[in-house]
Amino acid sequence: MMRARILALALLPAMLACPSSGREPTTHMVEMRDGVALATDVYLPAGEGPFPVILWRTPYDKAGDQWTAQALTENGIAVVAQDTRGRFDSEGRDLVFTSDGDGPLADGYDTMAWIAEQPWSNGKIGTSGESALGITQYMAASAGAPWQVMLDAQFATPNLYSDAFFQGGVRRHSLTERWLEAQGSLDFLDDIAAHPFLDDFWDPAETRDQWAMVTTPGYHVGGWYDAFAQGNLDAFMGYQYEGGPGAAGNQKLVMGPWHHDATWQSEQGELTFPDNAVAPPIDNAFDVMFNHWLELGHPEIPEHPDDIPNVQYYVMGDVDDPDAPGNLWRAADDWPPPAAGVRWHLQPQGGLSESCPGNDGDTTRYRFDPADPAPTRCGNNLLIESGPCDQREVEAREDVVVFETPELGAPMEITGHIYAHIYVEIDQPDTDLMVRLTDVYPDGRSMLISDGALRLATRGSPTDLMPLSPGEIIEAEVDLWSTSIILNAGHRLRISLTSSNWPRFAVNHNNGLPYPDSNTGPSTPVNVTLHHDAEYPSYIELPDPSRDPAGVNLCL
Amino acid sequence: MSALVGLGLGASTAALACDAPGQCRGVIDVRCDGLDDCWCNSGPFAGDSCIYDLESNAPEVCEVKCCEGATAGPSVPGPPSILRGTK
Repeated sequence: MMRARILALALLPAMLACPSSGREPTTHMVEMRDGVALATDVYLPAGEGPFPVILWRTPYDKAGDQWTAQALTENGIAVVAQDTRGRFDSEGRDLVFTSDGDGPLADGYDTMAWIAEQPWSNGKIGTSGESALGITQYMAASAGAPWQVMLDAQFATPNLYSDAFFQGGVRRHSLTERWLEAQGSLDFLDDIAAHPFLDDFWDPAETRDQWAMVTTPGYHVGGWYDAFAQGNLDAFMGYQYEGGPGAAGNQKLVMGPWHHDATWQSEQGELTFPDNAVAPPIDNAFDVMFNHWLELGHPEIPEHPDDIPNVQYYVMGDVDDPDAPGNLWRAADDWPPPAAGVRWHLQPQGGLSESCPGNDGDTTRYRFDPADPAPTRCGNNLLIESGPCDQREVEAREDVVVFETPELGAPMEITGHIYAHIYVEIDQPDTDLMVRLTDVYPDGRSMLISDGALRLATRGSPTDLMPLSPGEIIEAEVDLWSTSIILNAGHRLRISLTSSNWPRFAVNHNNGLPYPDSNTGPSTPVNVTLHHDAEYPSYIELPDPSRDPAGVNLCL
Repeated sequence: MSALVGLGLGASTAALACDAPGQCRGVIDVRCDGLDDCWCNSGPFAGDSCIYDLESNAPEVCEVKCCEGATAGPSVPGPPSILRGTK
């Protein structure tokens, strides 16, 4: 049973509510199932209630957005803002989202259970927030709290291991290290080191196998260049198509051209999209969905969630040509839209085409030295430069190989999930394969569309390592996440391949050892051979809604 | 089982009113471009630059320099919202 304890707080300037249009908040220490108490502010509307509730659980200080809290109370909503475990005024150790889901600890569920018991609560709880505040929502939703009637998770992921701390088995260095350092929670690196594979430790924070537990309608907002882009997409699809009662069929998705530190803006990395990029045409989903699911009956919000498309996504385009196709929003019933998976095959002399490669044993080689990793130039990052940036500096390196099309005679669309299938051979037990996809402008700029990483020794499995043997050729499937873009006529499509992307990803020392020894242990250069002939037809598969699947050259 | 806690914000709050530049310290949502260029994106400090909080070394937490613009209203990221008081 949760209970609140009387809290005698020192009156610190940092805790003061500058805007004070409504009642002042009260602070409670709400006890979780293990006895640890979390500091929780409650903002109540005028009147007796009981009230519907919006909850945000944050590692960034519960007093962080008092203005919005007061505004919500003026609309008849009680607001509960809580410091997550080990953060600011809450007790316990910061367990970095692993206490927020459906596990031995379930802080989100316990907090909602406490709210539901309060006399000022009507038992209908919506959750809201972006980034870490979105992650705590996704974790809590997997616990199936019956009081959660709405979720608003923006720029967040429901899968901490596979979408945040690791990607393709490669640890995301800058995101992990810099964020944990900023939080003062670097000790969590020891937990990551102790659990380098997807084991039970990650279960509460890796929710992709728990979609059916989710019972809440949801509003998901992400960005093509966001650090958690695939997370928002996966949550939408999981909840919408595999969710439990209440969740399935009641999800809305917005995907803009944004990165994590430039959400709802038109300037992204080294590109500036038109002004329409800041928001979708139907931009009041937050109000409409909370008004409906919290049963607010707000007189100025007559719309119903059915009036909002299930999916609104931004199709990026050539930012230099105002007449270019793309740079527009589309509405859809589902994600992803129907599309043909067009296979672009690696060809001799750096070519890239739909043609099947010849039976000539063609290969391309490079040598990767961990002492000299290829640098990151933007992408889906956190706390380092992000978004679409020119990759020519990277592509010019000797340890980077490039394949590209001729100038496109007509526009080409990519909308959906992207995978590269590369046949690869190495002379060490392990290395990483990094694949970047770029839109090459007529002036030569090679602007990043998306990228992906795969630790070869994982062979795509998050639970084990199978170091490679000399002479062994494996098919590496590299996940480049998702996008929507139309390459203009006169542009070229390019992919580049190498074995590092630092500091976005930790540098593999090629020794075949489990993390962290893979990145700190003995280091040896590796010779990488990419096969691309009829027997080993390496390709990148790009979903194109304008193409007929029957016309795709599979080269089987 | 439960008890409310009054924080007693009255008199001291008045002394740190939002129209008193340089006196109000609040931790609020910020946007970060790298580690040393943060600005507020919500609450009454929206659009204000803010200094990096060296004490916590937290890029998403900053100390607001002053309360100028407190009456200008919020600039919550995202479209205007009736419920959030930005429309």
